[in-house]
Amino acid sequence: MIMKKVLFFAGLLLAMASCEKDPDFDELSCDLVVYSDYDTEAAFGAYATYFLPDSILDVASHEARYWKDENALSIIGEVERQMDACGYTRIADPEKKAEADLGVQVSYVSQTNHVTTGGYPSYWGGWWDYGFWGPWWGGWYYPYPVTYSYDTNTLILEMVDLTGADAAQQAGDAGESHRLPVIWYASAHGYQYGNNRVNMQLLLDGVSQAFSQSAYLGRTEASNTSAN
Amino acid sequence: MKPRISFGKMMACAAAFLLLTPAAQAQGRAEELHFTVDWQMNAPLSTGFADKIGVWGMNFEGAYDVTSRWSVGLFLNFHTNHRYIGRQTLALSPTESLTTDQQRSAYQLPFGVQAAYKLYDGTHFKPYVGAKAGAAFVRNTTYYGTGGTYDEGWGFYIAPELGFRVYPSKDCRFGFHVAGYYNYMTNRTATLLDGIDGQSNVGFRVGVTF
Repeated sequence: MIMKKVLFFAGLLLAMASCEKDPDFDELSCDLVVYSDYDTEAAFGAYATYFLPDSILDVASHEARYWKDENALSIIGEVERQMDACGYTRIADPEKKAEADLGVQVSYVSQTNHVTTGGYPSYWGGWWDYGFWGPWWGGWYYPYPVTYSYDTNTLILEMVDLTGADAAQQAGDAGESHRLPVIWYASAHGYQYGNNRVNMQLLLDGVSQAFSQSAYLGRTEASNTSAN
Repeated sequence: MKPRISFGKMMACAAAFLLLTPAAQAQGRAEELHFTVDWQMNAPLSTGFADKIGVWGMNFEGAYDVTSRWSVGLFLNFHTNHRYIGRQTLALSPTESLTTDQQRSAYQLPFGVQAAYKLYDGTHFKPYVGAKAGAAFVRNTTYYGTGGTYDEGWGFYIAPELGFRVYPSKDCRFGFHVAGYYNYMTNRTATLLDGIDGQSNVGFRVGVTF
């Protein structure tokens, strides 16, 4: 009788104790996660002009491919609007890009993530953890391919400092390499949805958020005054 | 990447720890061995991580009456608390910013030894004070965007408890259990930017004892 009681209790305990309840993932918004970082040595208030190419580099392509349709132009337009709001002046003529203080490059990654192991992360501690079937199992595997996939969007904004172009040119003439400093980096990343308008709006919101969380960007009053 | 612990193996060790000692002691003394299974409501206190009351937990106890008033035994319980944090901009470092919302999940699994003293040894009603002590496994996860980050670790656990058992029949073979508790764990974890160094919880349990 006692052993039955113990075994019942052991079974109940083993079955239940590995239960880690998942949170409600539907509560998470579909807005892109926006990350930014910058070089503390950069004097963002001192820059006056920038060059922004009229295309977006599609990084996921096997070869360099540029995204130039109206959606790309819409994103570039939002970047331009934000840069202008920071007080920087765009140089639109590609022939004059060497005159710009800043270069802004926009890249896009559309990625399809294939999951082939059942979808559970290796630290999974939930009900269908392999340990649920007995503590003697050391893991699981699929003898046949099981896959599902999900798509993600990533938009990357990078700001490079072009004011050292003369020094770089002199270094190049002397046979030395002079690396181009990326003084600001921002990315907006998240799930890609079936509706293109939704995806575009999320990317545009991501651009706006990247600038709004980077309050250090922008010409200072003193710079504007001296320029005038 | 931290080495990850097999939950199955951990549960097997904990179950053996919890069950074998009372089972060995209980040969021929079934009336002095009792088990308790509780549903648990738990609220972390001032961790700043998932301080929201949660109902996703259970408590298991095996105890042996060493005298008419005192009992000793082993316990294991688990609980998950969740908390949604709205979209905000976080300063990950002096130069890094991250804007996202978060779904936080705090999982705890303490187990160890327990002792209880009956304040009144009535036929149907048996209030008691008790204490639990042992180890606690904690895993805190912050889900955001398309992924997340987690941290896990071990710590010491201690928990005073006040409760009572109610037995409908005089033989006390089956009854109901109600208890309130406070606990403190020394676990240290950090996810995203929220670090937790030591954690307190309060809660109560309702269950059956047999």
